[in-house]
Amino acid sequence: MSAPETANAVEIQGLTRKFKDKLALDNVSLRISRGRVFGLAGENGAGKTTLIKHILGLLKAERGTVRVFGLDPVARPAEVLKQIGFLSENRDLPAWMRVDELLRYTGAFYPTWDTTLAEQLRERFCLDPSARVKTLSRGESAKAGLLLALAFRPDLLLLDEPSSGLDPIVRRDILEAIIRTVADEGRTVIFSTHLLDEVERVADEIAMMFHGKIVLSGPLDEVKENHYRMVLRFETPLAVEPKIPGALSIRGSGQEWTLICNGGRQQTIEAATRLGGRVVAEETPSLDEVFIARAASNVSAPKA
Amino acid sequence: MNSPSAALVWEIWHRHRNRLVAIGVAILGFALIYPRLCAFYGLRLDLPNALDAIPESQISERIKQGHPLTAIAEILTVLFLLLGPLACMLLSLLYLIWMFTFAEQDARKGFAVPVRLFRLPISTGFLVGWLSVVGAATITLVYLGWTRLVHLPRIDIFEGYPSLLIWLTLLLVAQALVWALDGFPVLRLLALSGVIFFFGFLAGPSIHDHPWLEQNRSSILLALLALGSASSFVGLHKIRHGEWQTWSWPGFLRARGAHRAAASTKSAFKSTARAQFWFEWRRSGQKVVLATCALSGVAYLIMAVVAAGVGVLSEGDTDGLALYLLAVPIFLHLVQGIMPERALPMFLAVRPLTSGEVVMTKLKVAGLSSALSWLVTMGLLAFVPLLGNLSGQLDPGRLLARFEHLPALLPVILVGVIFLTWRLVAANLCFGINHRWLKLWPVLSPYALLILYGLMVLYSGVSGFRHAVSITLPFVLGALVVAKFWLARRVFRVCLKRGWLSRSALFKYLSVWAALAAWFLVPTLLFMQREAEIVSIVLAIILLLPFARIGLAVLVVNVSRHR
Repeated sequence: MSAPETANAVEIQGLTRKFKDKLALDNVSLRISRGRVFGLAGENGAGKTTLIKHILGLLKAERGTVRVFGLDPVARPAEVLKQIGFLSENRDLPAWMRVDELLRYTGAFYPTWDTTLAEQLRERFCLDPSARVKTLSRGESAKAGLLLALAFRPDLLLLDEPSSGLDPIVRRDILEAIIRTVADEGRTVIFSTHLLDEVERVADEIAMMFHGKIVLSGPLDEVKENHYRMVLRFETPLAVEPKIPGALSIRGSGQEWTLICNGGRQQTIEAATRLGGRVVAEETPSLDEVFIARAASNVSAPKA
Repeated sequence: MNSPSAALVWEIWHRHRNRLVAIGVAILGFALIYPRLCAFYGLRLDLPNALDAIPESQISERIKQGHPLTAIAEILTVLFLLLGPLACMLLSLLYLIWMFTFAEQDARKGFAVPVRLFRLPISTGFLVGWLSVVGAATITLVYLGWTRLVHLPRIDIFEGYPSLLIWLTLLLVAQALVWALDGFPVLRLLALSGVIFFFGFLAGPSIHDHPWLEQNRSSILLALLALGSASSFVGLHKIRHGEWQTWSWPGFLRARGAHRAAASTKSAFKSTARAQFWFEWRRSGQKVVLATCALSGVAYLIMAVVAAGVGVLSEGDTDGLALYLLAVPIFLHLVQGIMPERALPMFLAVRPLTSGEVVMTKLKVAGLSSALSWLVTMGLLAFVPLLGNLSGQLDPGRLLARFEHLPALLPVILVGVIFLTWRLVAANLCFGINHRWLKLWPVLSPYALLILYGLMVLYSGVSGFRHAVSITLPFVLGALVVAKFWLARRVFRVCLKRGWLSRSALFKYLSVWAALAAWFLVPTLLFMQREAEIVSIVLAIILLLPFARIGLAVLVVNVSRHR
């Protein structure tokens, strides 16, 4: 049975997953179009890796559905996995293998494995083919894992915390690999991270997770446009935090308060004025600030 | 917990409590039940050599009167009664020795002392001293439990084992080897194999054939104890400070390796199946064969050195070596079988492989490792007569002369031995599951069968019981065979329908199964057709060949892969 044609690389509908008493994923729904770079952001324990494992078919959905290129990754793992290049957060490569053995072994599973590309990447990443995995540094292990994920030109590149614990040079290599992958027509990248500056650099779309829920999702540009940081100055110092409807977070003391808001800009200004304040500065916040504000408020935004 | 000592005690208890409790239960169980069981069978434990009691016992009468197959079963019962408590004592003390090396599983070294210990504010001397002293105290306590509470039978082949000094020395020497050779896992395995064999030799009856060793045994042990203590400290100190934990190959070998590795990146496996076979072979199969070579080779080498010293080994020594060599591949595959993999590593789980391919590859690798392990064993056994004479029970020439059909049955026996060793792994793949009780089946099943047999022997004295068993056994076995095939059909249908197993893979396994069945059944029917229990024997052979379990293994791998 051939795979149904679909414009989406990944479709997740109403996905819920519990581990004993802990609700890891709470009614998560996502659509990731083909050819996009999708950033999945969230704090540690938000559910990013759990979501990725569902995409890989390593976890079975307790409720809801997961489809990768129209296929169920649990029912048809071999067909789905042939299209996914995966870099694990744990870099769990077999410690006893040499780099050359890693390439030979992994290449046998993918009909589209490009030996020339694999060799080019190996040289580019300066990986000694005779070195054993257990002797590789953290950065070298990450590069080796990335090489395995890229060398067969996957339709979907799935990276779980690719930059975790790595130096800026290795991070740069990984981000460049992402950009190069997308430059190949039709390829999709999903990467999870808690380093939001990386998301800002390369992602087209973003979803933020908090305690197993998607609290924000949409194209990156729209997310940034819909959020703003305002600095308010009040005539008289305020002893307590002002109550401003629509504010995701408010920080400050005395006369000067900074708030992060989304949508309803005019209503926010009017509310501040009623409390005796005025807007003295307004900027687009960074994704870090948006995420922290979202996490603090735990309020779902209207989809962009 | 308010001291490092208390913390270490807590950690050891927490990590090993189930097994420590099991040791305690075993000691109490044997203390309470064992003398009654022996009395029931007429075995006298107070004799200088408990084996001498066998001619007087009821079992001896049953062996004389019964069928040869029943006689074998009765002899196994005797062996269990005589060796059971001693075997449990040996295993429990060996386990305690391992426990107090404090080694944990390590991705890079196999087993290693955890580095986190060295980040704690405790000195190396304290750690070595604590592990040695507390280890010695625990071993002494368990040793006293076995020797004071349990009426251990006196058997000359085991007379040296109830010697506390041997166990304490083995503890310190094992600690020294595990710690001093932390960076050299292969060398460590060889050294540990040699030490265990040497200590077994020191504790066994063969020592009587070597007067110098016998007279100086205590001095040798004390010297080893002192050497072990010093080496333990040095070893742990070196691990802590990263000294001497690796070696460099000579330059020309490194260059050759680099050149070979660079060339191999351009070559490819001819198929996914070959790649997966290579992976499983390197991951597990090869290790079993290398362990066989190490354990058997070191033992042979030690006995060759002893033979070079004394001229010719005694029959006891030669028999002991032969039996040891025969036990090694069985033991290694048994250990592998009772610990089936409970979850596919992530690296493998994300490959485009079906669960059926994973299982079939494991079966092939287990078959190859069993065959090669026995090849190594047979090869070494062929050289054993060079060291000394074997007794009548083990000498091939005398055995061939005694049993007229043996030459014709040799190929069957050889394949049978390889098959049974393979089965130790293959039949337990389906228990690679994290279910609370099911995962214990591989460990508990031999005991369950022994208990079942024990109950049958217990009631065999009841009038009419034997006749009833001989009538019902074929039906029971027949029902089990029917259930086996029914379950296999159900499971394989599901696996095929869901694409977990391909038709070609199933067909190949069925072909192998049928070939094995024919290989064992044809000689059985030819040579044992007149036996009264021929039907039961044929059904038992069919039951022994794993069938439904293989389909269940595919199911289990699939479940663990997609939790």
